[in-house]
Amino acid sequence: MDIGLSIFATDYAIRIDELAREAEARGFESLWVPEHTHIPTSRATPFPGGTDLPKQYWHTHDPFVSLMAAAAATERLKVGTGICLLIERDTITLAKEVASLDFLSNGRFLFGIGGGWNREEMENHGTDHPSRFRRLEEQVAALKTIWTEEEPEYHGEHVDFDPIWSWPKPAQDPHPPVFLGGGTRYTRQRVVDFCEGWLPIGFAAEPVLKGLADLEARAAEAGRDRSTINVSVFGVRGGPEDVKRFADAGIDRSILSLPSASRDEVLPLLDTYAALVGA
Amino acid sequence: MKLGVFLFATDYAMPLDELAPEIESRGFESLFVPEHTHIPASRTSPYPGGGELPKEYSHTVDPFVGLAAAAATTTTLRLGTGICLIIERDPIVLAKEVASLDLISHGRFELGLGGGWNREEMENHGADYETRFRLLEEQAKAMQQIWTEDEAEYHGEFVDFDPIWSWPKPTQKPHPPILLGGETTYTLRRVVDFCDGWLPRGRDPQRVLEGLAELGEIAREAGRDPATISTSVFAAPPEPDALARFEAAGAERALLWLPADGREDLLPRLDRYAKLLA
Repeated sequence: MDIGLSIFATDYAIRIDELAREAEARGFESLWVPEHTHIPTSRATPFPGGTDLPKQYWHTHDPFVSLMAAAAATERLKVGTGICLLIERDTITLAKEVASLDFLSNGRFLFGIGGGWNREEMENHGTDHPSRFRRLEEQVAALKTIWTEEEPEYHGEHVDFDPIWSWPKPAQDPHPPVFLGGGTRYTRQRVVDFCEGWLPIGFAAEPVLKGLADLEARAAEAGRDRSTINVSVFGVRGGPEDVKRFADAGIDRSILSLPSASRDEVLPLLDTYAALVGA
Repeated sequence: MKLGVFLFATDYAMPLDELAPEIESRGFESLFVPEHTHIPASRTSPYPGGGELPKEYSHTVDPFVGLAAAAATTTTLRLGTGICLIIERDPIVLAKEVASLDLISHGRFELGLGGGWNREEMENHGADYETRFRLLEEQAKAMQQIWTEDEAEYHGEFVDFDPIWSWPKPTQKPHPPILLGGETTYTLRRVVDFCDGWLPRGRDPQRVLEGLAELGEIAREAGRDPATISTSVFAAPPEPDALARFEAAGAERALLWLPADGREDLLPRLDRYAKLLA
């Protein structure tokens, strides 16, 4: 099983290029960063984590700039968004950002996406909370068209454009894998319908393993080979025991969370996590 | 005068992370890249350069991703957009992209921006050709708020948001220089009103020289010290006499054109241009 890492890349944490080098040197397979474009100060939508919203949510760097810095400092490490709030972004611009990062990293980008939870944040980008997943589905279809066609066009309810030219195309053929975050059955059906991977949060093992059985059933129902869906568990908290359970269940990747903290705090944790690499 | 270069960074040109250190090691001051998010295949808006639109317009890499790669392999080279079509971008997202790039490059970013000419391209991003400069002004002012305020808000006709938190703040204080492209008197007034520099094209050197004088007058009329406004000549002729005239008229920087070519064509050209640094 692949072992990856995730961190909120912020202005007070270890620099992302430095962390990427240290992660690659210890054999980690991938490095993932989340995004929030900003946080509205009203804090009207409660944080799904239950507490006050942690500071790192409004200090995150732009993921495409920081992952390019991470990729430029490394040779093999894969870099991913976990997750990118694509519903807050312009589809045509995002297609070029993803393709550029994949092209300049020689095909090392993993594209994790999600629907988001912060209603005011998405509204500041003109996105409506109730229809966000319909928009997300259209955006993914439009992105794949832009990445693979010479003269792509798309005509949907939320995304609509006549034929365009857009290069570079991604280095990965046909495009970087799209991983959908979320833990509901709706998420898993969307994964089967239009994604290459599932990116559930793995704070506890049991819901992930139950979800995996559901995902496999949905794939079988749709006639899709399970091996075409990469399952990557995000935010594994249970240590070696959970990582082993995930590996035994056929899960492809475990992603361990790092605190958004300084080098002195993060590097010892990297050393601890490194025991899981190749275990 | 500072001497920099610009090129359309494409998938068939020398990659930016390899090219940038070659530029830096020869003593050039800066590297600028233009952007087009895409090109609508209809090609309804005529190309301002005349003739067919060159291929590189539809092959540019995203400037923020591309310049992040260039930042990783250099230490002193200034990195700029020339120009960024901000009217095709979301100002909250763009503010964070700029701040992030400025931070990871240790404060080396310059934001060149412009209104654009391709009507269909901007329409695909919801921007209207007729009102694009009002949008641009509001976006620039909104981003200045986001970069400098702990709780930024902006309420305009086109850009409107209640207080937000957005870090990182740019490394450069108060923020990376904003350079406005274009050559009209309207452009010069906007430079004086809300920018840090002027970024005219050098294809009509006479207009640049006149514009430098006019820019000084407009600044003085507005009560702004002309010394607080820099001028960077985009696509300046690579000729000592032309560069000397720009410098004598008060320009701080000239940017020389590099074609979107491979290493074997670009490196000899860089060597030729480097003789102008003497």
